[in-house]
Amino acid sequence: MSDSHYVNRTKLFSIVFFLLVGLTAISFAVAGSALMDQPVRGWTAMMVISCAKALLVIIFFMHLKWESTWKYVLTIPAAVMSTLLVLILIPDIGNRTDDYAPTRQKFAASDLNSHQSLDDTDAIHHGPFSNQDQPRHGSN
Amino acid sequence: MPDLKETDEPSTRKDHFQLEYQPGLPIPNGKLCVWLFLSTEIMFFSALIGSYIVLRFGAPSGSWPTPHDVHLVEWIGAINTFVLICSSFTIVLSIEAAKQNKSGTAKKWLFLTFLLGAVFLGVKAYEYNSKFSYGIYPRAPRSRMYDKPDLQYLSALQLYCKQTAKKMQEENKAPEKLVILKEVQTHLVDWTARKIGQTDRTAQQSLALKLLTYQINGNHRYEEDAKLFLKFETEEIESKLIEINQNLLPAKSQLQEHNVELQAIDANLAALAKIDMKTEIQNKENSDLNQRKAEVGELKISIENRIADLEKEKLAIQGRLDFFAKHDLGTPLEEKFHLDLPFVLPSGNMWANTYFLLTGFHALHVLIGLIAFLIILTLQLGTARAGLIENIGLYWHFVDLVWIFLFPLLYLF
Repeated sequence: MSDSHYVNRTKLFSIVFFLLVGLTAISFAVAGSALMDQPVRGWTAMMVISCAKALLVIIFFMHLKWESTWKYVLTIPAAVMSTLLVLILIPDIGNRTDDYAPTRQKFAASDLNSHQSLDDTDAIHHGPFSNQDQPRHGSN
Repeated sequence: MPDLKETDEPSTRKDHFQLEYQPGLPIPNGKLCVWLFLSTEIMFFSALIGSYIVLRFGAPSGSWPTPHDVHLVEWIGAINTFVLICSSFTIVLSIEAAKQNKSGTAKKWLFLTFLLGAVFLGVKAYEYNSKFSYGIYPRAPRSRMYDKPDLQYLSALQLYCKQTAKKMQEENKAPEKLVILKEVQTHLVDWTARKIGQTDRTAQQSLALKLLTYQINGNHRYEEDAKLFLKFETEEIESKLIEINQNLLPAKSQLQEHNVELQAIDANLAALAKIDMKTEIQNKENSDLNQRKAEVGELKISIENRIADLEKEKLAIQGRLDFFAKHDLGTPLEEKFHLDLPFVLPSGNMWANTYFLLTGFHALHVLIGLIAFLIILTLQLGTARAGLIENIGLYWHFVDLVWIFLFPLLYLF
């Protein structure tokens, strides 16, 4: 039995637990605070808090603090791969609406980018592909 | 192993040598397997979360639903985060107890972990149920969500009004609700459909639809356009009402004239009918009168139709004006009457897809964790099993880890 080298870490784990609860509370408070006036700031703050919480869980609860160097072999490649996975999605999916043609915009999941006034004439309706520009019947 | 060796014949062999087993990594095989599995899980969830982030921030600007739009309650999410953190802590305590060979204490903590996980799933189920009650589902036909106020949305409204009114009539429940549904159908939905059919200016069509959705659901994104269009439309239909009244007056007097003339013709015809032997002139007069009667009769019918049309239009306009006078544009009808009508939420369907996929896969992991807890709860949890609890604990912490990111991303962003 390995009772001989057992170290009681309950106190340390309790501290980690209260830190996690505290960080959750801070994250919740950020969402309702003035930081969200500039959403990017609020989002960054919340993600930093989440990363801190994740590290606390990984290092202490998942015992990585007390593991030997093999931990890097498993965690670092996985972290790099997952970061790259997200990054390679950005050009095709993240920026997908940046260069929508007006005709494509018409089929987007939102019409919020096309603000209209009462006097607007529809660009697509009267555009180069509208019925008016088609050859008239009987012109031959 | 030693037993095997003794019964094996090589015991007599002098050149027997033993191979020394050297593990590649200084950890038990079980733990290594769990860590390898978790490293694939990291990539699995980062694909899901990454896609969510990229889809969310790449959505047409300003369209992604806020937590309020999709009826997410922030504090419920926070409570669930707290519950999972607690469960992570209790499983750590369970491992500690097992290492000290206190099986009973280890079981107690593990059971508490199980309960906390079950609470998490219960809250999740409650939240899903609330989404469903608002008509938010991952996809049609159950989903009542439309990405923009377009013709598809309008026809969904028409169909829904028709079917629900029919159902309500058959069931004969909530008569007040039926009344308001009929009003919505006549003064909002069918009115808008007719208006859209009458104009070929797409800007006006789109504004009319925005007014429709704003009046029903009050999405603040359409507030400005809706108010603009309502002002324009009210002015237009009020002047139209005056015009109708102006047209009705001469039409009615014309009808009166026709009636008088018809009476006169009838009187003349009656007088002629009394004469037994008619002269040629009288016969001609008789046929002339009959012809005139038919002509005037036709005129009368056409003027009556015109009056009916005008009255109908007047009634529709008056109904529309009354409806807007009765129901202030600021308070959405859905909030007041809970009609469960189809609604517009830009990028709402993409939101629902990502939300249900992310939380669904997470909940599935929680469920698998709960099953694992139930299985090991049946075992003796002494020092020998500390490694097993630790392995399941690693998995459970990972589930907690995923939620640590999901909570702010879904509830607070």
